[in-house]
Amino acid sequence: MPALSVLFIRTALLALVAGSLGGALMLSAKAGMPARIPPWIHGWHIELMLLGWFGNLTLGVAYWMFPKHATGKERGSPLPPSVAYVLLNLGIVLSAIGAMTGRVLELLAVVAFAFNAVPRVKAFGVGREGSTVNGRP
Amino acid sequence: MPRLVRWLIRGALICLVAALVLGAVRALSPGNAWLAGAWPVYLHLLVLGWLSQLVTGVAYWMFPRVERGAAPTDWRGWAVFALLNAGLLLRVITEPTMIRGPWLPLAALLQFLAMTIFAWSIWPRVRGR
Repeated sequence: MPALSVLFIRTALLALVAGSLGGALMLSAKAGMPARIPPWIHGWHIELMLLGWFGNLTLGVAYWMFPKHATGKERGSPLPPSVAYVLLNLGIVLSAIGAMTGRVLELLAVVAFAFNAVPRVKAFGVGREGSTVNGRP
Repeated sequence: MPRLVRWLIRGALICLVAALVLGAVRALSPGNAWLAGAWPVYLHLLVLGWLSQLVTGVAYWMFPRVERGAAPTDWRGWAVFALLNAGLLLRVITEPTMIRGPWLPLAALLQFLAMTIFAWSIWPRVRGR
C-alpha cells in the first residue's frame, strides 16, 4: 500500500471514530442523555462520516488499487493526490465548523485527485508490452 | 472468503434490503407518524448498516495481513459484527417510537463501540510495503 493511501485510509478511520462519536451523542441526546448538545454536532457528524470517512477511504483505496501505468511512475505523479488530501481534509474541517469555503476546497480536492485517477481508469495491463484487452492487442 | 467476512457482507445486504423496504413503505404511507420518525433509521441502515458494514467486511478480507498467513481478524471482527447489528436493531425498534429509558443511548454506545473497535483492529493492516 503506498504511503499516500496509508495517510488517506488512516485519516478515514480517525474520521469514522470522531464522526461516530458525534452520532452517538446526537442519538443519546434524543433520550435526554446528555440533556443538551452543541448545535454544530449535526454538521460535524455528517461531514466526518460522508467525506471524512467515505471520502478519504475511497480516494485512498482508488490511489492504491486502480490499474498502474506501464511506463514511468506506476501510480503517476503523487502531487495531485497529495494536494487532494490536504484540500479535502482542510475542507472537511472548515465545513464542519460552518465555513462555506470548506465546500470549495472539497471540490478542488476532487478535481486535483481526478488528474491522477482519470488516466488510471483503464483495463488492467493496458500499455504493457504484449498486453491485450478482450483478446485484442 | 473468510467466515466473518461472509457474515458482515450478509449483514450489509440485509440492512440494504431493510432500508429499501422502509423507504418504500415510508413513501407509500406519508401520513404515518411512526414512519415519519423512522427517517434517521432509514439513513443509518443505508450508511452504517449497508455501506460501513460492507466496507468492514471487504477491509478484513482484502487489506494486507500483518503477517503472511495470519487470520483476517481476531475476536474484534466478531465484536464489530455483533455490536453494529445489535446497535442498529435496537435503534430500529426504539428510535421511531422514542421508547423511554436507556435504550437509545445503549444503541448509540453499541454502534460507536463497533466503529471504534473496527478502526482499532484494522489500523495495523493499513501500512506500506
